[in-house]
Amino acid sequence: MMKELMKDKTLLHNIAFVTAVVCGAFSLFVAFQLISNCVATKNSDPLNMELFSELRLRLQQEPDKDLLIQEIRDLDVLARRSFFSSISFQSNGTLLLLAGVIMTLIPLKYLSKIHARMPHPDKFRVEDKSIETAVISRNAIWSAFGIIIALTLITGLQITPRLTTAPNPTEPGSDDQPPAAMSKEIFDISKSWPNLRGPYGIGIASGTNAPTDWDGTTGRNILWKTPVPRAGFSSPIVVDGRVFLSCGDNEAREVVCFDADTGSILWQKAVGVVPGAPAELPEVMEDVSFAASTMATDGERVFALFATGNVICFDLHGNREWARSFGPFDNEFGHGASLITYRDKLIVQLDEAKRARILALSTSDGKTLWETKRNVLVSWSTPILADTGDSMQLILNGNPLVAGYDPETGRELWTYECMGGEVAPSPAFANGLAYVTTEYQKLFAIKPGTVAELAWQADGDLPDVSSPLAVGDFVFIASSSAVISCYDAKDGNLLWKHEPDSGFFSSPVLAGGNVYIMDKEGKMHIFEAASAYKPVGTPELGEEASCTPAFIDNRIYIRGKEHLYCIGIK
Amino acid sequence: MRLLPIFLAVSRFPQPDFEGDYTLPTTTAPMPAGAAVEYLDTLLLTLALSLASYLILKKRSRKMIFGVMISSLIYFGFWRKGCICPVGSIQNVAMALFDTNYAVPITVLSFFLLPILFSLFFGRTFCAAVCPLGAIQDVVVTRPVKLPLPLTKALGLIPYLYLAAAILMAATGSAFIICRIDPFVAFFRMSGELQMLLFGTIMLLLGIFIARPYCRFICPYGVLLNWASRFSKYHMTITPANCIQCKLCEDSCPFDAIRKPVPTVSPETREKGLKRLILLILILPLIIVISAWAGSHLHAPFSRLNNTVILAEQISLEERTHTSLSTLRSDAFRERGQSISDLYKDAENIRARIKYGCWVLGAFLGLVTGLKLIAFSVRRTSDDYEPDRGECLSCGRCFSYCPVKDDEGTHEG
Repeated sequence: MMKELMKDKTLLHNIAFVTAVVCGAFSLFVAFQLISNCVATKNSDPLNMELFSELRLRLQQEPDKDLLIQEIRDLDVLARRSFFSSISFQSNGTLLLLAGVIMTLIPLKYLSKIHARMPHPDKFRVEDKSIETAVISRNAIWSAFGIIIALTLITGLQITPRLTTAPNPTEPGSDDQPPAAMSKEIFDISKSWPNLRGPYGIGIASGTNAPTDWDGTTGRNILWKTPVPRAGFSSPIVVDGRVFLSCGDNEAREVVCFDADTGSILWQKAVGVVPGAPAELPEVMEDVSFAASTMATDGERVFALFATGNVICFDLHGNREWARSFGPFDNEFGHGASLITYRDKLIVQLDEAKRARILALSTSDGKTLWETKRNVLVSWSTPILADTGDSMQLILNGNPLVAGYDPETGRELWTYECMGGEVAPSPAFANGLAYVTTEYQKLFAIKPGTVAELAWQADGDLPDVSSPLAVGDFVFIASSSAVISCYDAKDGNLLWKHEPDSGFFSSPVLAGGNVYIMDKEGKMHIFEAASAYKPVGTPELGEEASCTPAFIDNRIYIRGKEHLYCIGIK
Repeated sequence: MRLLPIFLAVSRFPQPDFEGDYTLPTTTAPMPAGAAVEYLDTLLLTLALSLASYLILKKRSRKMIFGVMISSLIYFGFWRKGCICPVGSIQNVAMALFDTNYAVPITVLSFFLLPILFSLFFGRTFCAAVCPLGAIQDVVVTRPVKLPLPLTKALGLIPYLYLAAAILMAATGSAFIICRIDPFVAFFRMSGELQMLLFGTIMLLLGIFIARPYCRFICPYGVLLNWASRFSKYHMTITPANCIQCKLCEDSCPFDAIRKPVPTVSPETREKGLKRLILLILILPLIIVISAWAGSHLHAPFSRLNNTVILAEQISLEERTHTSLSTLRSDAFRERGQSISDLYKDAENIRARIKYGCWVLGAFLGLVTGLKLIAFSVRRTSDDYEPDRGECLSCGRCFSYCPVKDDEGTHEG
């Protein structure tokens, strides 16, 4: 009977067809179940469940609570059992799937054999198609080659090498000179403070031994104190054992070079005649001054920008190299944005009324390398350099746009509209987010990208001048209304507030795990960068101060109203 | 007697002996095999290749070839979990050639060389009946369709690119990319990442209609077998005796590897063909240069496959931005107290090597493209239906289509 059944082709065909369909459906069902289980358990980690973490935290506070210990153990067993049950499900399901697939394939193979296409030689044409075949083949190869080349170039241009820079020489085993192949964005970070708020303009010092105690009145830990020749609110920069300040009044606008070790003035040079500069001086508010913008350096030269609109370049020995005029500025309070360098470029942000732009000047000769218009109103903020992981970007705060630019070309990479009013605080950058704020707005955390996204926003006592500091899990701000606030960098939750007596114009800086922020009375508020306010010290300068200090190793350089101070352990 | 310790080899670190009914979970990656098992695998590979060659060239039996193929799939695929495999061994050999600190095991070298040697003599018998990756695709071929010729030719460049990339990554000690994106190893091990399983599933579903897509359009080892097979002395033929040009086999190959007769007299003038050939030869260096230049742009994405470069970039990011988003690797690196400047130096050296390798990769692709264009400009005449020596996988499907009997009066065993 079996032999007769085997000879009945139609019956065999039907059996094969039904078997293939049933087993195929079964296999699909099992596959779907496995995929669902896989997706559901993909992110489950029995050892790092949120509930677990909470119970562990509680256990740290109540280590002797037996009920809690038992609860943790029971949860642990449950979580592991669930996890391994899932593994077992996957394992058994895979075997079932394999069996199902085999049972589907066998009848399918049989069906394909009996339904195999028979050759029909009478339908085959006899003409020679070799030339046509060769032409088609060559064209196909050319097309594929072109596509591969295009994709290669697109991929190569989109994905560029991420930066690796020379390490801090205080690192163990890092006494070597940085390899020549390293990028030149930052020259010897440990020995320079190249612009406002330090390297990249983000307020993070590389030294770990900054002093936490001094007294400007008694001279405790004041290594030296030198009068500044003229008024100004620019912050000090430090390079190659020299401290530089810009200062000015109606008589002259000058750059002053101090010896970083002794405080003696090495040279003091006036701006002099600048081609194209307007003959008349602008009217400048006393609390802004001619020298509000902080200087910048590229390691070989120093650059200064004055309220007259003049940009001047000196070498480190005081020899003038070039000067340009961009004045007069159309800016109701006077120009405030500071300078920053990137490789061979001096970045100048000029957000004037009706003519907002950002420029890159060649550091060697002052020529404009690129200029990009900005759709913003007047602002006084300074650009920062942000390493997003994929590229370096210039990030600018403005009204109404926060924007990112390619420092090599000036190309606008992204914008996010969120600001308003008078924008003076510069951005901060950490954790892949740009943090921007100004008074009467909010504190925004923006994720740069082809389409920038808002990560979070928060209210609070926001600054009108001081810039935020973002480091690790925290964002610190200090307002003119005398409030220091600390926010969670990831979600914007306010962690703590501290209200000293005096407000702040200068910006906070992180050094050695502590945050330093100087109030207008010259008192430095030092506290730990932590989720709770933990004061470290409040040393006083003895005179008013509005500038952001410079930090080099175990020294701090502070510009007071009248003097330049060098703070260090005596 | 010297082999006795090998045969008696046990794990150096025995697994802990838990009390109760706890059982150790199975691992997803196979445990390292003792040397004896590896020598056994090599022996079985040799036997399988020999048997396959015999069945293809002498016995000419598709059924028996299929039987050997299923056995290979079960043993080399599911039992040995797809490792060691000749396809991946390219990387071991490449690494050994460029890294003096790495010694390729003799068994791995055998897995690399044996299929190539057999191809050199007997054609791609490895692909026909021994390769587990080919076997798992072959079993799902049920309704093959003929792909458009331009698509087949265009996709034919991919294996060369893949081969070059795999060698580059292995030679620089960056990654074994063939193993990383093997679509079928997850099936052999009954476990794998979701994307790997999905890729394999897609390949198998495609394979129902497009016969052996991985073998034809992706497999890098197939490039080497292709080259070796072109010089094979005893390649499989469709007919056991003389071809009678009956055309019955013309559509029998699901891999489109049968070459039709090409008459001696060409419809195109010799002058025209010669001009084209000379032009292609003259622009070959230009193609190579352009391709090399384009290939050099890939050094950044390739560098990111190297663990040292990844670590250096992460450390650099942490150093400069003081982010709290460190990784386990960067934490471990810092805890070891190693020099960051040394790490950066190593990363820069690796980047430089990869950049140089990308130039070579591009030049190789340009050379292959140019040579293919030249090959399609050379007219090869023939009177018979023949398998393409490079592309034919020697599966034997065409045997049953040929009505010609051999000297013993049979045409299929």
